[in-house]
Amino acid sequence: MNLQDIIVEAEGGQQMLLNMGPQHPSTHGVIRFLVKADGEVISEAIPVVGYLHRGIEKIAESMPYAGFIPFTDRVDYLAAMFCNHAFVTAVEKLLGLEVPRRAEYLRVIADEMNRIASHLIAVGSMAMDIGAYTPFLHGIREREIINDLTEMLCGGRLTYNYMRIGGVSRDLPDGFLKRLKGFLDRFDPGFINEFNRLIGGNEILVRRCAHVATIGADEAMDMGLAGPNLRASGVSWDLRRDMPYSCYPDLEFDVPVGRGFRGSLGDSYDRFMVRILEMSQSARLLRQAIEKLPDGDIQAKAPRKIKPPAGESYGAVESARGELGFYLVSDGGETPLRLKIRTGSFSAMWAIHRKSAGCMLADLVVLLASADIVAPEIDR
Amino acid sequence: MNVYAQTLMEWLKVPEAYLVYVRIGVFFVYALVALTFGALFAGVTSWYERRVAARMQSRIGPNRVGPQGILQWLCDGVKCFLKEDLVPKEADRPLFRLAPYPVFIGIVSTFVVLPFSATVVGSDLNVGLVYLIAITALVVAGILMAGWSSNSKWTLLGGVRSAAQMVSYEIPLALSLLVVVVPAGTLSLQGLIRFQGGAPWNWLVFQSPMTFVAFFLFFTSALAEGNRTPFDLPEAESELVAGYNTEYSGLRFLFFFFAEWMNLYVIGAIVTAVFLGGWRIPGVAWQRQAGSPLLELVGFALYLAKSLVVVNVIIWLRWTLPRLRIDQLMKMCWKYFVPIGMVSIVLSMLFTALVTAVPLLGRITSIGLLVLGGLIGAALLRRTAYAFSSFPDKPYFKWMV
Amino acid sequence: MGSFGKYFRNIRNSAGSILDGMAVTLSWMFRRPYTIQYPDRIGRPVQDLIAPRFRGLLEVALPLCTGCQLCQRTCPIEVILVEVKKGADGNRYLTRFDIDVSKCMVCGLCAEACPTGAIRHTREFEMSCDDIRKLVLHYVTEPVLPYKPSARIDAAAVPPVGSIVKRLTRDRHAPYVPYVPVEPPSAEAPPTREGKP
Repeated sequence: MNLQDIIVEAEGGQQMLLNMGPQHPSTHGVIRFLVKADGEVISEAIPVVGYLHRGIEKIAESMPYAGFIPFTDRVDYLAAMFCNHAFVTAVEKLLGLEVPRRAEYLRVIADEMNRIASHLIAVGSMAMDIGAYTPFLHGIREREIINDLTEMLCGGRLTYNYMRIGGVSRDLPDGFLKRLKGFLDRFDPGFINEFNRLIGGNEILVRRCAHVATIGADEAMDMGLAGPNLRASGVSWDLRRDMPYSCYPDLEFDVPVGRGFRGSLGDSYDRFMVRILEMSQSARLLRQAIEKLPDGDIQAKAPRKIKPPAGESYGAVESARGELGFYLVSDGGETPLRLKIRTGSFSAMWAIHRKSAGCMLADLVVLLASADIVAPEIDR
Repeated sequence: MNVYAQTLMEWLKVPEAYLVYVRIGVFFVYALVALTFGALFAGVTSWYERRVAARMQSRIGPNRVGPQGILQWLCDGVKCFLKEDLVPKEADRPLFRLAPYPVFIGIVSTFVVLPFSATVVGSDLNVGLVYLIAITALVVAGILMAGWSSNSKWTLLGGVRSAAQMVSYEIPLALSLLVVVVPAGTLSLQGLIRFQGGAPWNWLVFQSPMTFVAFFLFFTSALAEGNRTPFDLPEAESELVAGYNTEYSGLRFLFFFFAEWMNLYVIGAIVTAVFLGGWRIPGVAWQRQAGSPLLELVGFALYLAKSLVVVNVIIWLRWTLPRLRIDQLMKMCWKYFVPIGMVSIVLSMLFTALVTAVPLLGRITSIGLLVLGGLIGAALLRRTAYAFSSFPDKPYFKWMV
Repeated sequence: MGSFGKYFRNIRNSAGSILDGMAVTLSWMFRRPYTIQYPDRIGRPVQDLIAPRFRGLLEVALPLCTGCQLCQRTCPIEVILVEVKKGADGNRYLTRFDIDVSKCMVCGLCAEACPTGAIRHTREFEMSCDDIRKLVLHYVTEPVLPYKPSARIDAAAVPPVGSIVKRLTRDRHAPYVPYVPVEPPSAEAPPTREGKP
């Protein structure tokens, strides 16, 4: 499908070809959409990706394993801990390394904090795209507290470089747990209830999101969706519970599943609410992890120069945007032979392409926002 | 204004033949003053809105340029003046250059009938309300011109949406004003204000259940006319970048924006004049007010205060609510507002007939509606108290930060 | 009748949720804003507000540097340039330690790799200037003998964290002065123990 062909085809017919270009306030990054519209109603929205391609997978082929971890941060900078985690899991599987219990708990604490931060931006920017600017800033305000916490922990506020092959890099500083508990007491249920009162239950938002771009359960699985997008369509699948990794088997949590809260099952409002409910569950996980945190090492004895034996492995975590998987092929050398990253946003692009038919222009914005895509994850 | 022309004539001892020229002079001065007032209001409101919006979002707004940032709008204005005058290459040049002016003129011309106090009004037309609705229709023309001439599909969409929205919402606007005209019996704004009293139970908003409904109807329709959230789809940032004024920069852009902010004052002024008692002082007859400059000044201050309250509510709504989609907007207009407006007019006629027969009914209804209004306000305050108590941050009233 | 009820229930639901939202925004209007008015209205240096582990600009405490070049090897993007040359008297001398701040992604791998903690992150971040060449910080201005880990060193000899990079970045708005490479001492010039950058 060639750009010229699309233009010629559209100009021949009765439809407008709109270009929701790479620079656009609501495409959550640099993504381009060619929208074929008949006035307000869209017949197809063709995504054109690649504007943010940085060749991260190619860079990995010339980077030692330990040095590649800062690059994984940039794959999805809003949920960077998950990217770190998935990569080191893949390498540890190849090496056959066992991570100490304390390091696993620290990883989970970092992951869940990051999940809350990422979801705050997701629901906040969804509200912002729909026109309510205030909830986004309230979400940012709460996220600043999480940023301060991660700054205390590892020194970074957005790109953490926290996990290492075999564990994590630093142990908790003094005052961290107290501050985290303070944040949790403030956040859940206080902030979440207030957020729901401000915008979650707002009639106008419900009208904008309900029955928009409904994705059924079978359809969602066919399209390869994962994460909150999949769960909002009614499929109860969560890697933390169904393919457990790290210390999740010891922790108790629910997996929120969409059920047509105010519209139909699998519409945009379900995706919105599933993220808000997931934030609550993350807070619950954090409280348990703080309580059960064991003592011990934070890093296993990994060799100085990491040269995994030849083979392949796949390390996946349940990121804020879906399943984030690193497929690693090693030939025994210092650098990987091939690294492939599977991200949730890339699968969501296909869903957006399919589901945009029949939407209005305003609905396309809601669909984009509810799928919670970030451009760096799509293009890597 | 005629009164002032007359007094000026006598003071200057100008012969009668030249009355016309004195009148033109007085009108010219009044237009200048009103325009300045409108422009100043627009500028200061832009600063004020940014400060209020920022405090709602846990941040401080502009507070550096001048004391508390009050000169920020001046700097923004000067910046826009100095920008390059860009006209897109394929755009329709004459239309593109012409488009901001109907928008601006449409809004500014409403200052002719807006009263500021008992005797200070440009020209108290006896079809004042009809004039208002008609002259603001110029804005539609301007927006359509802007959307079309920018030669961009996005602006075209924005312009067409906006035109459809504004034209549709003029109907509930007119209907809700008619609901109020029935008991008052006059279309002129000064007449409406004189019909009301100063005390809240004498305001037209509490006069009958129909006028109460008409107040909300008018307020919402005026928001839609002014392209304010929740009806700002035509200028929705996230969808159309800026809708019909995407391609405008510099001074032309400023015209559009000044028109929008000036419109805030116009909405506030009309709502106050028609529903909230205008410049009436509680317990003072309007004739006495017209005679005494001091009372007129007090009336003006009251009028301004009430308009500012309405402007505050508009700003508050903008930063709380998301926006409606175009078809939901239209549905609301045609399926909810127009039927309610029409039914209200008929019921208002019946009610007025009833009240002429039984005046006590009017009194009771006013007090009852005042209580209802108080209950709604109390519900809001109760929810605010709950919001304060359910989150650890304490109240903090310092605004000069 | 059901649709009538639905009509009015719609209106009441909308009004209720709008009032709720307005109450929340009103309550936040009268709460303290969270903005920190950097840089002039904070009351104390901004570095005090930052956590100690914050990964800001890198600096090198030359008294502790052993010249092992581990940081240079660990850096994924080759930001650090360390040169160790033999002087006329047969000793190794540190003659160059450049950190390219314009490329550094403050990942912290070098600081972790350093065996003595010579290269470390500071809480400084104010480095903006008008010439990209000024963003390469040259920490060695005269040849320095590397630190021998067996030797004793007084803690007071190590400058406090942040002071070195602060001194280097203080003149960043002055015009650019090209870097003059440092040569190891020849037989005439006596060596110094620690260069004062």
